[in-house]
Amino acid sequence: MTASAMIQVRNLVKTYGDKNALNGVSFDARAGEILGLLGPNGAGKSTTMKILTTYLSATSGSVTVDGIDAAVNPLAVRAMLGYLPESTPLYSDMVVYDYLLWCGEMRGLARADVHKRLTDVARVVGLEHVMGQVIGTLSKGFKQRVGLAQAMLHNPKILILDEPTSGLDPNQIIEIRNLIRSLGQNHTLILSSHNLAEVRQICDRVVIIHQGAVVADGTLDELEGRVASRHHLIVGIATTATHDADRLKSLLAATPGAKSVTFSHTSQAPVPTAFFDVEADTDIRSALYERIRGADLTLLELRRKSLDLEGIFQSLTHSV
Amino acid sequence: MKPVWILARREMAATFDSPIAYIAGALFLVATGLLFFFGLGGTDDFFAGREATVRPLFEYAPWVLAVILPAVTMRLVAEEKRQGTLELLVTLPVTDTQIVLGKLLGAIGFLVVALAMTLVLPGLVLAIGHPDVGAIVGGYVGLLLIGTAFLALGLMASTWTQNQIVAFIVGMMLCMFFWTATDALLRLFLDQPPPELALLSFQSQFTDFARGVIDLRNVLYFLSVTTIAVLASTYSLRSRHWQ
Amino acid sequence: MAETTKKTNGRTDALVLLGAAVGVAILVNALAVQSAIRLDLTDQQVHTLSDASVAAAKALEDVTVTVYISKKLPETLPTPQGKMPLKGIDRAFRDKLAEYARAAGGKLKLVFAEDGSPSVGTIEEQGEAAKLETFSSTDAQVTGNTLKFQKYVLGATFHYKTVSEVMPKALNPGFYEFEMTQILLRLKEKYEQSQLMKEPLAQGKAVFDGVKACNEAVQKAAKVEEKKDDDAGLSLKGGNDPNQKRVAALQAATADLDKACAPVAGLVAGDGAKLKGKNPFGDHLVDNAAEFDKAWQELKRAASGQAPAEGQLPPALMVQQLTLLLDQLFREVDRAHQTLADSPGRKSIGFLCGHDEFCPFAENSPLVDPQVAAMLGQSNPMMKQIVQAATQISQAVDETNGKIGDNLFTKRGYSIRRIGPDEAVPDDVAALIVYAPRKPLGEYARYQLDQTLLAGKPVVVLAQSWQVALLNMQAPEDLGNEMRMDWSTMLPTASNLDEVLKVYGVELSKDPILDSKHVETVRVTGLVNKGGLQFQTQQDFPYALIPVANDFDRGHALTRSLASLSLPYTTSVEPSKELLANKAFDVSRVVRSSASSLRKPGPVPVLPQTLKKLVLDTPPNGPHTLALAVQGPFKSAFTGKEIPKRPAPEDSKDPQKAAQKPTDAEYELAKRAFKAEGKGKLLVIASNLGIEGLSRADVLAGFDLSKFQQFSPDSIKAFTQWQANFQNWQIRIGQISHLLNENLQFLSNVLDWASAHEALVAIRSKGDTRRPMDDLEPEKQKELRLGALIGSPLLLILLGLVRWRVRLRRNRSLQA
Repeated sequence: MTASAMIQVRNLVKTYGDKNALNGVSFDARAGEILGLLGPNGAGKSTTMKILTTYLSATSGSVTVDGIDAAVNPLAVRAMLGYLPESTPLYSDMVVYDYLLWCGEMRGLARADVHKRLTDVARVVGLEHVMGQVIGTLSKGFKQRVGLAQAMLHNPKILILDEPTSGLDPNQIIEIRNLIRSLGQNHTLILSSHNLAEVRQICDRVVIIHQGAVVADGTLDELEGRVASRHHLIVGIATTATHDADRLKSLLAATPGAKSVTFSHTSQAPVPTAFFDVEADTDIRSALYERIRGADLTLLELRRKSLDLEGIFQSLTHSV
Repeated sequence: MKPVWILARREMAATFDSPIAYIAGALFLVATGLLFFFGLGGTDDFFAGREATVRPLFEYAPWVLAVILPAVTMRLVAEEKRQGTLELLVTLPVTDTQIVLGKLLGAIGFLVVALAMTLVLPGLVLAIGHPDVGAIVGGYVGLLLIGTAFLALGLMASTWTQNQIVAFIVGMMLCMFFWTATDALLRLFLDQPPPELALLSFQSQFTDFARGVIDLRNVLYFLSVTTIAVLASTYSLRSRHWQ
Repeated sequence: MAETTKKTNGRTDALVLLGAAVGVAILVNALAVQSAIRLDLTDQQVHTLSDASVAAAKALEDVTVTVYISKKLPETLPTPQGKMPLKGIDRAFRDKLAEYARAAGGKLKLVFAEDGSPSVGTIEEQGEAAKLETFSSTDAQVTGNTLKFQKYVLGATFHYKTVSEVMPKALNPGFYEFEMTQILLRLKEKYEQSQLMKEPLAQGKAVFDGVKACNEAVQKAAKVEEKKDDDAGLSLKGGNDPNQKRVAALQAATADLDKACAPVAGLVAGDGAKLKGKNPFGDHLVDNAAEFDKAWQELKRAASGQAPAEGQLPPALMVQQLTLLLDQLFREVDRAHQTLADSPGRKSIGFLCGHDEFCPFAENSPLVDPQVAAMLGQSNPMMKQIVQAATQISQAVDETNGKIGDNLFTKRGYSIRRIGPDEAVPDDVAALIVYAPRKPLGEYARYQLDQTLLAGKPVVVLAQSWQVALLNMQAPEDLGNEMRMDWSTMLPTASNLDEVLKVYGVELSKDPILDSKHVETVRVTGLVNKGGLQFQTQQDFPYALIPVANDFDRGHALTRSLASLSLPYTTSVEPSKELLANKAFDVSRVVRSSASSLRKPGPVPVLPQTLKKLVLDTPPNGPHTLALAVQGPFKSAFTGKEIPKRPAPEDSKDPQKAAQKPTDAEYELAKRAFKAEGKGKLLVIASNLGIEGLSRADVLAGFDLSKFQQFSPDSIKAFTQWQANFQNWQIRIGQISHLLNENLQFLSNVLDWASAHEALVAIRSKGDTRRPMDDLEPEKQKELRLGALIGSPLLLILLGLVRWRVRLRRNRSLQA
């Protein structure tokens, strides 16, 4: 896209056996930007990141980092990256200090420099008090900090963090988020998450991946703008023997303003309750209520679904 | 080359941080010691031979090494695969070959320490007689080479699996195959194995060392086996790209 | 589908690369098979050709080595000492030969024998034809009714110009270099000498060829089909008797046989007569050829169908036996011819005999004149039996000595000559050995030693000052009792070597040398009663009387590459002050005992345990010199003295000896030849190396025919004692036989040194030398073993603990 793109991802395809994990993913990350890769588990976020970090090669497509083709010169690309893989794998029997020292040396830093840099980074991520502790004995949050520390130790241009907050307790999540936010001030940062709130909090821009393809790419505002006009209603209806699901569906769809209706709860007939997902551009709740009453049905639940990832996905996939 | 050293240092530290190094090391020392003093059947008596020689050590140590060394290498890659640390390791700016060499070198560190501890035996023989020091040096060079080949084979087995136990068993079988069975196996398929093929067996390649001769042919052989095992390990690591 | 292509590409690329790597590795290794780059770390470069070997290989132009190696050698070879591993021996043999070929730089060519057509035969058959020794393992093949052992061959023949040498059986890789270099050196000398000895060699060959042609003709004609071996004797009377057939066959072939065999008589009379008297092997050859001719004449007569003379066997049987005899005689002629043909490359070494030395020759004269024995037998049948038995013992002694001489020396390529106390040292003897005399040397023998030394020929003196009997047999005091095996004594011998050598500045002491630490074992065989059954047991005791020396003069050829040497029952030998002060002499303490050794006036208790106590209680005063080499301008011991006359041979009944009666003219010549001074080489070893002489005089001590004119219990007792004496010799040799191998190596070194083949000395010692360890108490052994077994793992774990502690402390410091 633009010339200032730090990372260019073009048409990434990755197949495992006969399963396609990525079906042509393309996006850019601009220098100094915090990019969120968003998508549910198994969407292809991790695979994308693994290819970005040259852990895996793409079946086809290319990754260019700062003008360097990752497939041609993976070592140069790795040198520019800091990477925190999913679930933070660390040598659990090493002492934090030794581990970071080793990482620094492996990154080609001189021993004396490593020590200085190490103390700085440790202060930044808040590891000063556990430097002599064996990694295996640390809490999940501290482990995450160690992972972050090793990723940023060599002051890389780019940080790639795969699900940096998963598995943490709320307090830890907040701390780590703040940390990442501050890191984004002087790094290009790509992080993956399945949590929209997190992405909203941290990221400048979001790329949403679904089933191995990019379904949306833009700033949060842009995306939310696209989604805000529409919402979902969850409708629970007590069914009777005379009302099968299809009939109910057409009944609901006939409500003015309803765009699409999906039956989201399959049960054997006679079903006690049926749930419908009704998409609407405007607020049709009162109309819907009237309609259900008019049909002599019992409304059990009528709920406006909050704007979560699932919702966005659904809306996005439907709108495509 | 530098990353190889840094990697090797970490591997060695990791080996000696874990109790397995001490268990394997102590087992190796006790086993070679017992075999040295009492022979395979437990009936020989080193002192009764009244000969100032370290020959029994070179006769038996490879057997023990073929069992012990895979226990040291089993962890090297299999465990990283299981814990996921391999992902971090290979995305460091180092090549897969450097990783394999570093791990091998680290394991050689253990081998060197273990062999150094057996120096007690030549020391004892030197104290009570006049053994041929050259033959002892030759034997140790041979042990180092054969041990390195064993380690490379064990490392290769470790790259094939996430399970340390599987890596150990496969590695040990590989070592034992190369150490003992080449001849016997050849005989299964060929009535009269040509003498050139018999050279495949580690045992026949090792005898010269124990006699105090470092023959280019034998050195080349062990280095070849090691190199091929290292290459195979590298490709095995790299295979993540095309799986 | 593009993606799948890429995927497989990655995998195929890797597989291709890996395959290529394997290919390159195989190629590199295959190419390296030819390489000779090797680093020999052993003390004496055991596995690298010595300079002497390289020089020997380069010295000859165009040597062809025909190598015989069975295609499939057995893995092991059964020997009395257990299974001998043969694995890889063919490679070692081939490698060593190739090393020579490389060293010779194209002057030495290797030809490998291959299985050929039936006329050429298998490798094994070709090898046998080339006088190689075949050997068999345990694997046998059953063909028909017979069990046939698979024969193997591993050896080579070396050809140079007109001469050749055989390496008959190459089963000891430790000595490949020695044997090959020896052969190369010999080839050279042999060729040079054979040029000088052309005539006798040609004469010998003529006689041999004649005999061979005759024998071949006879054997061919006499070869009749026999039904079965077992029936041959039974079917004598039958008409189908193979012997009868043989007679008929021989008769039929009379003309051919005459043609083949008639020349033999002429050859013996012609070339044979000329050859006779020039060379002992030539004599042997001609004598046997003459015997052969005699047998042939008899065969001719028997086969002609003439009626047998009185007391003779029937002709058919005669023919059979004579045919066999002819073949046997031919073999003897063949052997003699071979020895004659080989003799140019061999220098002979004289062994002084007649003073109870180790003298490995069979005595020629019978113990008792057969006529006397017959007379004795008529007067007293009991006496006849005793004399017969004594003769048997005497024969056993002779046989043993003959075998020892053959195995230790002749077969190893030394030609040795017996020099009696009444004989002058012949000119063609290159060196003189006085091997542990237990009786004093007479004036004449001393004079011979003196003059040989002054003539510059090496003189080697081995001493035996003590006769140690450890648990030997002893004839019982009373008749009828069993022999006892508890006779342990240490008695001085009557040797006067100390006195003989003193003149030359060599002080041979008679004090035994003991050692508390560096000792070898004595192997004691005893009978143990267990549950009514008698078992033979063997037990090794560290024995202070067998000190192990490992302090050598590395500058001396004899000991340059010797690892250690065990010298049983040794005394010490030191140079005199005058000798040391004399700068003209080169004195080398070739072998010295350890610092823990002890020189103590003897005798000492001989039982191992008692002796050990004594040694431990006495402070050591070592080291002591056990072998001394002196080189320099010696002065004769007979200056200003009357030169001793050669004594008349003891046994004048022997016509050959009777002819050697000393004459005045001879004495005059000797007087004129007397040298008062001369540069000489003298080597004195204060031990007999464990090889104790076995002589008739020693075993049959007190044998005196006159005593046996009448039967007495004493004579029976004497007889039992003789038996015991012979067995005791065997017991004593058996007690230290495990050291003999090494000591024989040293002895061979000494012989090579004496026959100026110093280069070989160093090469031989490179073979597997035993490196004995110090004598350790069982408790000490246990301590060391436990220390090594537990010490090293414990140390490892301790290091681990230390490491852990250090890391813990460091990690804590990081926290702060």
